[in-house]
Amino acid sequence: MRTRVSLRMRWLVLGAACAAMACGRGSGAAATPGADAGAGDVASPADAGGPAPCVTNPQTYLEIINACTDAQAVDKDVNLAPMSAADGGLRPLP
Amino acid sequence: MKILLPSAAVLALSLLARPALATPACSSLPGRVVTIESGDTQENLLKVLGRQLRDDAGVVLAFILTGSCTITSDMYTQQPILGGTLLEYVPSTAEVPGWDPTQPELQRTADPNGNAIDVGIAALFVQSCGLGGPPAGSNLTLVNGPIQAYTFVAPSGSSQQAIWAEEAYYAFGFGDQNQLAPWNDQELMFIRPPSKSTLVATAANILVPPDKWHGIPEDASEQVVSAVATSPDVERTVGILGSEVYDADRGAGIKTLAFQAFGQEHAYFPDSGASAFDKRNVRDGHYTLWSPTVYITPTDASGNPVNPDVAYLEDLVLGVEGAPSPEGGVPVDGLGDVVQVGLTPECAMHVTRSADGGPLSLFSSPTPCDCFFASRIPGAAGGAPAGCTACTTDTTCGGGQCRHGFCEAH
Repeated sequence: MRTRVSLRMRWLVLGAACAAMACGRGSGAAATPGADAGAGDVASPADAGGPAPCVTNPQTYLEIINACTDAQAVDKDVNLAPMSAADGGLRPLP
Repeated sequence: MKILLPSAAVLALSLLARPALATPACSSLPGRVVTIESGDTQENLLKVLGRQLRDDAGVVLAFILTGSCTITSDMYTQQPILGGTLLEYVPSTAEVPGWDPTQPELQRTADPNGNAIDVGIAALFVQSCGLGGPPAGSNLTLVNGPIQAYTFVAPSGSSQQAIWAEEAYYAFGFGDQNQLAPWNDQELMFIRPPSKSTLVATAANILVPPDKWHGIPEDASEQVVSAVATSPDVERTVGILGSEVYDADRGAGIKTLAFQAFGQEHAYFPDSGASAFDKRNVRDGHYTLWSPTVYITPTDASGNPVNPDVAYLEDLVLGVEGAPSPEGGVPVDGLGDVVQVGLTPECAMHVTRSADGGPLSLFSSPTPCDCFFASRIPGAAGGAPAGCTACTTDTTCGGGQCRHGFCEAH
């Protein structure tokens, strides 16, 4: 999961600023202030092994894509480490 | 990046390779011919709408299907469809009574001197093609039409249910060099050429430029369906499609994968569930693989399409209530056709964006059609959907407005 968080930091660099709640899935990560930090309310705080948070009043992009919903969600664990760059971000394309 | 595009002339030559000597010209058909160059994701809409327009408005939609970036280039350079090029069209009920949209179109040729393209229908923000806006003085106007979602698909027998944006980045960006299972054999990745909206729009969402993709480029969406469905290695096979192509081919041996965008906590299907048709996640922003369709057409000084039948076509797909057919006829339910084929009208959207792969922001349509949309999706029970009230006038809508037969908030 550490890899996942690092990749999201890469996403920050790429210009889609990461809201605090969207960067801490399953990692217990502290809030990371960003340009995308919005007014949405986190409905269920994430903790280690706990449910991912969702946002009840989404305003920003990252809040919108992580808004609370009763739609079918699919979770999977992916170990991206074998392909990640040294800093944990996306490896440049060949 | 500027994508190299085959011109309409090259396309025409390739089409001319097909036997067309005995095929009469479109202009010999009864009615007013609208010549269209369209992305193949819009084929189902053109078929459904084309039948109604033939029967009820005296309009013939005659079209060739090609890539959205080719279409944009052709419109910007005013390339005509060359004489003799084969065009698809939908027969009227009088011509072929039993025809339905599951059947192939019929064909006629362009006129001997060629046909100007009345409207180009791309299925992405055309800026993604690297061509910029319309050339100065071209009198072209770009109008955003219904929303086109895209999807990753796998064989029905695959155990995979979802794909992360990062996984897609490594799968399609590295091909055989991808060390992540299961999508690491580029012979089992069925993609589209880099002029097609399905690839270009998806590329923008996974940060793999169109010319960097690995996989087998299939010229037509249905070839992707066939290749994925018949792959001998179901677990490692993946493809890309327009979601309405997938919708039309559910049960054909493929399934859609839920998609998890960069920065997202869960993966979601375009619809609220794998078996639904409601495009709820497209509409509320949980599913990010989508682009608007874009209608590119010559317009007059007021910005209205030069061809009144194109104006009518645009009004129909945009859901303009009471849009009159230029020469009379029976009203055509264009918005219903849009929903029926798996596209999402903008009036049913609650998010918007300004670039392929760009961030979503909240959107409230000035003319919402959520209830109409829910009433027309495949599998709808008929009548008013839950939470909706049927109406004929605003007076029964309690301060709301009656739109397309249902009370909406405004």
